[in-house]
Amino acid sequence: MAQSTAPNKSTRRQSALGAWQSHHQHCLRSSLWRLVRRPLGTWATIFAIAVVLALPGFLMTLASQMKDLGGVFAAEQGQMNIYLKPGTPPDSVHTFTQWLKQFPLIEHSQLITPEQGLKQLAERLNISTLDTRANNPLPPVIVVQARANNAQAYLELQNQIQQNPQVESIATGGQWIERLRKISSFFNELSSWLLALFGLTVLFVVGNTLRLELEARRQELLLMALIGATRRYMLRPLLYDGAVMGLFGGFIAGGLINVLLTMLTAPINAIAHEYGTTLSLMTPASLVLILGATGLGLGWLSAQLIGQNFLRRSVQV
Amino acid sequence: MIKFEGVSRRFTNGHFGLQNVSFHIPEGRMVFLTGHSGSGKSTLLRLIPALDQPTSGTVRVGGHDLKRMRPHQYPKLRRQIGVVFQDHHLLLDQTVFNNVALPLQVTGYDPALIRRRVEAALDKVGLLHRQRARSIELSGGEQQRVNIARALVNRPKILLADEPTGNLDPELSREVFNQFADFHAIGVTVLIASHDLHLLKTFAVPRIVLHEGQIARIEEAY
Ligand SMILES: Nc1ncnc2c1ncn2[C@@H]1O[C@H](COP(=O)(O)OP(=O)(O)OP(=O)(O)O)[C@@H](O)[C@H]1O
Ligand SMILES: [Mg+2]
Repeated sequence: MAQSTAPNKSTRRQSALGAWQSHHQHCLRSSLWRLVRRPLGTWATIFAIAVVLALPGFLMTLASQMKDLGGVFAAEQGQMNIYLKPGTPPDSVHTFTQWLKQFPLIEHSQLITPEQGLKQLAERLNISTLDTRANNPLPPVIVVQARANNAQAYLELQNQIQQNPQVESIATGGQWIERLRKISSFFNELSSWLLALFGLTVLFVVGNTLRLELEARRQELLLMALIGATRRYMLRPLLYDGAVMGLFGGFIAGGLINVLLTMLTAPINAIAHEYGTTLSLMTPASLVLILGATGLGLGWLSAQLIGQNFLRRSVQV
Repeated sequence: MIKFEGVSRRFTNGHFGLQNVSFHIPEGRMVFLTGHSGSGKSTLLRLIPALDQPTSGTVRVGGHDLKRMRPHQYPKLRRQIGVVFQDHHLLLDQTVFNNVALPLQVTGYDPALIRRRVEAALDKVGLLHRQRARSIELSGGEQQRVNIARALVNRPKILLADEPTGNLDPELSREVFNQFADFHAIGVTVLIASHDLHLLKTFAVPRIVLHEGQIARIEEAY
């Protein structure tokens, strides 16, 4: 037979692993080399990715900063209204107030029972004869005064109380802090939507560049399929191209956001400093890393989608 | 080794490239496929490495029914088949060596082994001295021989060739056929499509003659 001098099994496996590794290295090298060899198309794609990722990234960071800021001002006031679930029996209310005592940060707390609440309400509305025997819709409220020295600890306290199953909701400080909170969560939600939308845009941007590349290499891919290349093997260079472009795009997006944030947070931090806190600014390195990873993931995914589709349609493997 | 059972290939325009074709080529045999231009030779050959699928009938290669094969299994099938096809040319911007090495690289062989095998294959087609040349610098005949080296380098069990001597002079054509005969001699199953009747006559090899997509007759070797 034609099959002679086959190397023995273990060396073959070893060498197969080596070949696999060297193909990966080769693909990575050629993807990096592409940044130099095809600078125009490649860098245009990378900058498009950067801009597209920078906006939601910026909004997200901004939103988390605003939440911190809300915490800062709430801590300054230190007051917190805890609304228990309506209809909580007095026993449980009592247990709850005992439970609150374990927090050293709480200076004192005061219970307003539903009956007291109703009375207060009646006084405020100038109604003297309010039937207190009817079903009282008001929840038990506990007004807590915390030691206002540390925004971070205050937020932590708030979180812990919120997790108690008897707690319906917590209101802190004045209305405008609530408003700030709402704006922040709106931004947070908005930026998640934007991230999803812009993530799709990144997929298209990368995908379009890669499709051109694939079209140019159609003959070569046909040939590779004919001589027994697997889909994975043919896709590998493309995946590296997509991942490398996405990674660089993410890095640059991270850089852009950092520049914007430094410009913006300097004045805010000047205020926050007076309240004994600074905003927990994401360090530039971690922001860049997160965006880099996002870009890399999106680039890779885009290459998968485009590549699989192309091979199925045009090369029929 | 290669078995067609009532195979038809109807194109989307309604034209039958192949119609109810049945034959069997046992392992280790060499067979010619002839017929006029447009008789369906290329259509038939493309079905064997699953580059195309029949609209009806069964194609078996090495005992496997290709209809039952999943696309992810095609690479394994194709690695056992060496092909010299008209429409699958060389990568012209690559060296001769790289072109011939491609099937081995794709399979993931060790570089040292690749080098040995590529040099052996190039030696067989008499182009070892051109291994570093870029393929575009080669003449048509030389390119065709690189094609053949590439088809042989993976030591396939089956060799398919579609007009392998299309742009070769008679002497080179003869040499190419002799090479195929050599591979047949060491046990490779060989199927060559050609309408170079003069050349075919000089080989004692059975022929499948196609006519308008159907088998006109099968001529035994004489
Ligand atoms: N994709 C296609 N769509 C429609 N008709 C096709 C297609 N491919 C081939 N044909 C037709 O099928 C018939 C057989 O073609 P095929 O290429 O197999 O012939 P052939 O025997 O290889 O010819 P030649 O010797 O010229 O290479 C021809 O009439 C051709 O026009
Ligand atoms: Mg043909």
